[in-house]
Amino acid sequence: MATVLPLGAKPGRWAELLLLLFALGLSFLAYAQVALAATDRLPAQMAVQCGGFTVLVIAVHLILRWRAPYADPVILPVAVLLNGTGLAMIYRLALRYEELGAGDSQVAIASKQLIWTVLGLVAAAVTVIWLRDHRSLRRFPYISMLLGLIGLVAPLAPLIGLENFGSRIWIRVGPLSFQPAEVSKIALAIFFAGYLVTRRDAMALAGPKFLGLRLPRLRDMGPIMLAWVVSLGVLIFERDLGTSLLLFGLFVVMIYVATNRPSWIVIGLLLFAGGVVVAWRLFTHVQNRVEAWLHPFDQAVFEATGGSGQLVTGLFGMANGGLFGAGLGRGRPELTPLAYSDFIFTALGEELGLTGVVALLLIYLVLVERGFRTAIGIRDGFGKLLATGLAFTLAFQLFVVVGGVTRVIPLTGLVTPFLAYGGSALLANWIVVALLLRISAGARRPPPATSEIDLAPILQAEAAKRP
Amino acid sequence: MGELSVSLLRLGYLLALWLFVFAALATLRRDIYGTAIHRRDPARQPNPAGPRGRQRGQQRGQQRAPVGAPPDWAAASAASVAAASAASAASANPAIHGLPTAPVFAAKPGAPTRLVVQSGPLRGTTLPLSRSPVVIGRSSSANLILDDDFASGRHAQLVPRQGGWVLEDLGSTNGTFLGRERIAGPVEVTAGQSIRIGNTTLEVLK
Repeated sequence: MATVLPLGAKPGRWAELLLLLFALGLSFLAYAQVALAATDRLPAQMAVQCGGFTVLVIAVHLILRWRAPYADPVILPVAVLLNGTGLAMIYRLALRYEELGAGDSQVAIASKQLIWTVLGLVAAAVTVIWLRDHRSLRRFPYISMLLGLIGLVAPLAPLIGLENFGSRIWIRVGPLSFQPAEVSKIALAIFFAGYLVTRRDAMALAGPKFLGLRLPRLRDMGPIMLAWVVSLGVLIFERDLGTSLLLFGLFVVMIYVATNRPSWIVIGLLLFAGGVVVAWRLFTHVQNRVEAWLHPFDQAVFEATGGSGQLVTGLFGMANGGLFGAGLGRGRPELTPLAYSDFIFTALGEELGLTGVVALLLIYLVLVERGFRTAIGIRDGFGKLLATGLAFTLAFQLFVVVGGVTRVIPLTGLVTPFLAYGGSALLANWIVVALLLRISAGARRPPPATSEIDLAPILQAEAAKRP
Repeated sequence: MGELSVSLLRLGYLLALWLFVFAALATLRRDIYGTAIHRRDPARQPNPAGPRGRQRGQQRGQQRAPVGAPPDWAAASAASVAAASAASAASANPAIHGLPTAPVFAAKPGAPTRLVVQSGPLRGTTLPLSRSPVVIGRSSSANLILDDDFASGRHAQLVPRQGGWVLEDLGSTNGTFLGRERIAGPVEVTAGQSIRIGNTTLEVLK
C-alpha cells in the first residue's frame, strides 16, 4: 500500500554560494544606485569596499564548509542581503546628511555601520568555529542568566551608563557606545532554553483545570512572574519599551513551546495587560505614543514634541513611494527623523515602493521560517527551544518595528534586524544567525553510520544458548 | 544619467530582489527531507505470487478501510497521511526516486530485502531494507514510526550484518517477538519470518 523511503538532506553548500553571490550582487547594485543618484558617478572606494565585503562573506561561507557542512543554505545569504541593503540605505542617508550640513554623528553613520558589519561577520565566523555543538551551551544556564542580567542593568551603572533619546540603554566603551541588552537577549534565550528543558514536565502536566484551560500550579508560576518583574524593571528604570516587550514575549513563547499549553499564553497576555496599565499610568511617553498612534493626523498631536510628527512623515514617505518606489537615492527619506534607525523601513518603503518592501518582508519570512524549521528538525529539546527563541526574537523585533511605523501598533523602539543602523544590534543578530546555522547543521546532518561490529561470535553464542 | 536608464535600473533592481526571493524558495523546495511515504496503486502491481498475494489481499482490504473508518485507520498519524497524499500524485513507483529497493551490497542468498507491516495501524506499509539500520518504535527519530501504544519509543532495530539482517531488541518494555518467541539478544532473521512488536506484526520478505 505504501512505501516509506528515508530521504537525506543535501549539504546545499553550492546553492548557498550561488545565493550568496546573488545577495552580494544585489547589495552592490543598491550601493551603486544610491551613489549614482547622489553624485552621478560611482564612489572611488567602491571597488575596495565591495571586494573586501565579498572576501569576508566568502570566508564565512568557507568556514561553514569546513565546520558546519550541513548548515542551512538559505540563512547566510538572506542575512547578507538584508545587511547589504541596510548598508546601502544608510550610506545614502549619510550622503544626504553631509549635503545638508548635518552633525558629524549623522555623517559618520555609514562608516560606523560598515565597521560593525565587519565585526558582526567576524563574530559569526568565530561563533561557528568555536561552538562545535550547540548542546555545550546547555552546560551554563545560570552563567548565561547572570550575563544576561548584567547586560540589562549595566546601563544603570553610574560611570559607563549613557542616556540617549530619553532611554538609558547604552554603555560607553572608549569611543564606542554599545547596547548590552542586545547581547543579553541571546544569553537569556540560552538560559530560558536550558531552564525550561529541565522544568517543562512539571510545568506541562500538573495543575488544576479551570474553564477548560489547564492552569499551572502556583509554584510553577515563579519563573514567569520573575520574567515579568525583570521586564517591568527594564521599562521603569531604563525607559526602554522595546527591550522590555521583547524579553517578556520571548519568555512567554518559549514557555508555551516547551509545555504546549495555551494557558501560558493567556497568563502572559494578562500579565502584559497589567504591565501596559502600569506603564500607561507611570509614563507620559507611553501615553504620547498611544495618542500618536490613535490620532496621528490631529494638528496638535502632529506638532507636539514626542507627538506623531515622525510617524506621519514616515507614512507620507511610504505614500510617496507608491507601488514601485521613487528609486534608490531618489526619494526624500531624510525628512523623517531617525530614518537610518527606527524608520529605515519607511525610508526603504519610499525608495523601493510596496513591491520592494513586500520582497524584503518575504526575505525576513524565509529567515524566520528557517529558524523554526531548524527547531523542528533538531532532535534535542534544548536545541529546539533555543532555535525557537532566536527565530522568535528576529520575528518579534520586525513585527514591533514594522507594525509601529505602519501604524498597526503603537510605535516602540526596537531595531529592524540587519537593516537598521545600530552596531550592537547588528553584532547580536550576526551571532543569532551563527547560532541558527550551528543548530541547523546539527538538525540536517544525517545520522552517523553505525560502525561494523563483528556480531558473528555473539550470534553463535545466542544460537548455542537456544535449545 | 538619462531618465530611461534610471527607470530601468530602478525596476531591474526590484525584479532582481524578487528573483532572489524565488531563488531562496526554490532552494528550500529542494531541501525537503525526512521520510517520504509513497502510496502505490494496487491496480498497477504485477500479478503477485506467494507471500505477496497475501499482501495484496490486505491492500484491497485497506482500500476499503476509509469508508468504514475502522479505529486503526483513524489512528494512523496525520503526518503520514498528509505526506502520503502529497506524494501519491508524484509517483506510484519508488524506483523512480533512484533508491534501489534491492540492496546493492553483496547480499546473502535468502536475505530479506523488504519489511512489510502485516497488521496494526500501519498495515500495508513497506520499508525497503537497503544498507542502513532500521529503528522501529514510536519515537519520531525511529525509521519506522509505529502508532502503537504497546510499542516503546525505540523498540527494536534491524541491522545489516555480513549480507544478512539481524533483529535486536533495544530494551523495550513489552519485548520483541520473532515468530512466537521473545528474543533475548541479537537474532538473524531470514525472509518470510514475522516480527511482532506491541500490536503490530511485521514481516521480512525477499
